[in-house]
Amino acid sequence: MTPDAPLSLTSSETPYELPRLEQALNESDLRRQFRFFSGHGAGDHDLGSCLPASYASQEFQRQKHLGFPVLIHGTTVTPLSERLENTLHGSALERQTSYLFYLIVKILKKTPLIDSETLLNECRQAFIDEADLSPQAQEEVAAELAQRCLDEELKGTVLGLSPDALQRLYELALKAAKQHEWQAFLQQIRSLVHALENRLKVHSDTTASSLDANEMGSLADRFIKPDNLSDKLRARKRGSKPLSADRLKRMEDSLDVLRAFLDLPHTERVPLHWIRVHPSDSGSALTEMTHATTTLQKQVDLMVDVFRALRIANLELRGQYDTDLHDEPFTRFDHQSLSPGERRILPALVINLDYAWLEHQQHALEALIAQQIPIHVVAEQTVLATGERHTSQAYLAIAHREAFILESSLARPVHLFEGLQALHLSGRPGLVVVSQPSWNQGVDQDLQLATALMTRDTVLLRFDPNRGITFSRCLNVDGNEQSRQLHTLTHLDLAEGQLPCAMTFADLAAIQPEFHDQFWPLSADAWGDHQIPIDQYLEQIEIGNPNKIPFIWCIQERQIRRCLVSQRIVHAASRRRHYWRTIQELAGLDNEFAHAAAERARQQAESSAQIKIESVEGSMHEAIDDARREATRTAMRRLSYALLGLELESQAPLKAVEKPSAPPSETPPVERANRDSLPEVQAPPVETAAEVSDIEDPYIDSDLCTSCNECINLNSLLFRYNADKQAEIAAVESGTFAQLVLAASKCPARCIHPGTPRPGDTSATPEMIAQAEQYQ
Amino acid sequence: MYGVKNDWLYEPKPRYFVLDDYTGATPRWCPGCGDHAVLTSVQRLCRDEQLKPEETVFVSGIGCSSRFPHYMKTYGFHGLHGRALPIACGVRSRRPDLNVFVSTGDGDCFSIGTAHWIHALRYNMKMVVMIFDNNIYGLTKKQTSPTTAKGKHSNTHPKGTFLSPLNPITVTLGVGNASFVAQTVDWSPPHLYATLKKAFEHPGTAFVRVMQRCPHFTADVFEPYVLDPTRVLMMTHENGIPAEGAVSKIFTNCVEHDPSDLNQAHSIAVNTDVLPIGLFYQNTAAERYDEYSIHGLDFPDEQKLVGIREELDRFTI
Repeated sequence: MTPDAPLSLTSSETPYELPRLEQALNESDLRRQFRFFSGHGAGDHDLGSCLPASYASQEFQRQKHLGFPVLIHGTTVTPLSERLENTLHGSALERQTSYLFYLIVKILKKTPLIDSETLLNECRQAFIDEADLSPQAQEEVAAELAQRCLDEELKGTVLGLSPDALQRLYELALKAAKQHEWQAFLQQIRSLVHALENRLKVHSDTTASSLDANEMGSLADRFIKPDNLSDKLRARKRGSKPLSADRLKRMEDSLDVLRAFLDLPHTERVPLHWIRVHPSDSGSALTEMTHATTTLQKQVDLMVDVFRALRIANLELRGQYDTDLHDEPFTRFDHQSLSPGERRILPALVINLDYAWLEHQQHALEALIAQQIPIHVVAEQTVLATGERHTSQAYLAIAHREAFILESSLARPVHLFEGLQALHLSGRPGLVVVSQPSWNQGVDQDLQLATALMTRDTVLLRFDPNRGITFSRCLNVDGNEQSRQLHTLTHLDLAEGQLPCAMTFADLAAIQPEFHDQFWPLSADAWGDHQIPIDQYLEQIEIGNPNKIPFIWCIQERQIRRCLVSQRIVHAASRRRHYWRTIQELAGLDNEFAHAAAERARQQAESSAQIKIESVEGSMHEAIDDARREATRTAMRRLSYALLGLELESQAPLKAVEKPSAPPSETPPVERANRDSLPEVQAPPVETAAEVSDIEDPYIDSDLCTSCNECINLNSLLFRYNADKQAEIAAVESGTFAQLVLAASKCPARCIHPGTPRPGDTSATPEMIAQAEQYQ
Repeated sequence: MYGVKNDWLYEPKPRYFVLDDYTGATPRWCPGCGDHAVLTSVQRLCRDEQLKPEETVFVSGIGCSSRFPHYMKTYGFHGLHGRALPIACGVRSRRPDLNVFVSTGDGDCFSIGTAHWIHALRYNMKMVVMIFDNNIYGLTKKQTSPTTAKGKHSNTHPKGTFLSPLNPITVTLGVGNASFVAQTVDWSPPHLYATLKKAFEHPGTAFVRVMQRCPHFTADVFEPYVLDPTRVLMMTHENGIPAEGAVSKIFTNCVEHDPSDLNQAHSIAVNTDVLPIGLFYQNTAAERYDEYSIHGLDFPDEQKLVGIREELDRFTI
């Protein structure tokens, strides 16, 4: 079989003799860095000590800085490595940063959640213990570290990567997002309870049925006490009418509910109900989920009762409760009646389960979202737990459009933390899918997470329906590496130059032992033109069969190698590529509609520019032709005059005189003569027009009006106040000229100007007109 | 969609106030009285600032000016003669959430209430003090007031007032903690409004003297200024009262005066040849007694009672 012949990707048809790989594990730099990469199996097609080349690129190395451990301070969360580098920059310990970081990670393995000050103290101790230093150097290092530890930048709580990191992060985000609001809510309830108690006390005092001498005495005693007296006064201010029976009942019921709520344990912190759904032997997955939902629904109902009591109490205390209006809505008051603000106060209700489980819970999840029950479903997606299959529950849940969807990864604690905060504030049901490493596997957890993210196996995505109704507003895909590209592109520095390596699912599969038999390393003498990198292969199969063999770049023993990739891996990579393309399109990063529109606009602009250019060119050519013709004509005339012996100048003035005389001859001279001879006849109408325009309308300088009511009292149809309560003329025809003059004379601000009388106004005597003169 | 069914039950709708929401009884001032202009300007100010009527209080003493609270549909306190300012200070110190306005006259404030005038300025609590200065006791029919011009015939001085008038501006500028001193005229509503607006924005006591025409008793006093606007000296500055539109066209006699310059304010105020209008002096950083007096307002009754008892126990024999 020649290399150019079409090839399929099954191993039996692979035409090359695959080299046998060395099993020895040398301690190269690269291997030390990825110490987990133990050889798996010993078959011909084993990857052995091969590593995907992209892992050695700088782009990939940078990823690790963005993950755990993180420093949490108030509502912000930052990767600790970033902070540590900033703090130690320029100090004597700058070169020891990685070592310190290593110590910190070690401490965090034991206690994942720790106060930063304690952590740094422990780290300092470990550093001094482990480093072989002279006593003086020890002191110096201790002093330097102690000083740096006090730095404001390093204040807060540090969280390391551990199996329960997600739950801890969720709790911290909850505290950061809601604690303040929750305290205010509790305060509101306490003050309401206090006010209700006061009101009920006043009621019981004013309706004391029998007043015997003893009671009178005790009442008098109570009255004399200043605090009781003030209560009485307060009661009187609100009207000391005794409450009706149903009002009393409503207030007492509300008080009971609110008191019972305050008496619940641990109300000071925002309650968190975290139910972990495990597969059990007895019940099916569906019943487990339904069971959890029912438990949490009870919490929602409890809060709904509290909010109902709160609203009723507020209305009752203001005396605004109207039985006709409010009874009916309050009887059907449920969680859907809560306002957005109230929904934000609801405690956090979480169903935590494995992502693989969620796939079987579609029905229960849909029910949650459809009924708008504000429960958060937190699914933990272990990297590659589903094999090469790829499903996106987050994408399916987006289709409901009503729930807050967050798809994130433990590799990006900042994205996760901010997303969770937004989720807490949205007051909506939520689905959180978090990518987690496989904890039991030998592969480094950071590496698993970072690779999943770089290969688009995990997509960072946030869908917040509160932001609008279009995808472009709701969907946020910030934080994804090189989000405008289909594949993340890395560059490997080689002696010959840079080698670009696009990261695909194949790079992720290469570090998973179960996929090792899907790769075939090739030695350099087996390379050929019919092999292409897998990203190009994926691009080409979208058009048709490329008749090539896909490979990825690998490193073995500090040598670059090609590794052929099986059909199974290609399918898996293609699926992820397709998913990411869809998300890009929805988020508007690379939208084909937009490209098409831009292209149309560009073509339109080009064509209109072309038309313009052509017309300009055309007119230019015309002008050149004209000029050429004119020049020829002039030359010919000069020549003919010269030949005939005529004076050239004598002709030119004649032409010049002729031209200007032509245009004015529009009106015949006879008509002009007529008009000139009859000025008297046409004069009167002109004069009438002048007289009409001479009538001055009355007006008021409203800015100067002092609102003294004089003019309004005189004639409220003629004058009126404007929006600033300053006078203006309402309707001139509603009053007489005499009234205008009278108002002007009375106006203390002298801002009424009567103008001149309207034709036919009989009140306009010559005296009036004379008087009006002074107010103009 | 959720959250829309019953929202209105819980969150009251915001209100928008128009002039009518501040209009109380029909004014019984004489036709042509300058008080009408002040009333309208104040009502416009209330509307433009959207002050809630139930959170606004007008305090007055006795006199024509002091009828003011009756004509506003807000809370009002028609007090004793000369005692508007102490009442207003009391309101302000116990209810700092209210907008306090004081309307008082030249007789009320500069004569019988002089002591309160000085000390209210010193306390510098946030309020707008409007002095309706018509140079006469108008309500009691033409008696000499502290600002009546020398030689003016009145019922108490039928042969002419004997003493030169008091200059309230120089007195006010002389009080150590005075923080806002302005003067305006009732016959220029735009300037009057701008002055009141500036006064309302001031954080402490804003003293605004409104030169106000009394058409019956002192028409002759203000007539020359009305007819000849050049006799009015308008103080202009970027930090002063904005003079725009009609105001700048009418009052052409202007002087640039920085409201933080106390010395120049004095020299302008003592010049009686012209009638200065505008902002004489403003100091937003002056001390305020109401910042101190609000301490303890939020204590519950029990705590107050304990405190009182503790204090009283000290005197137990």
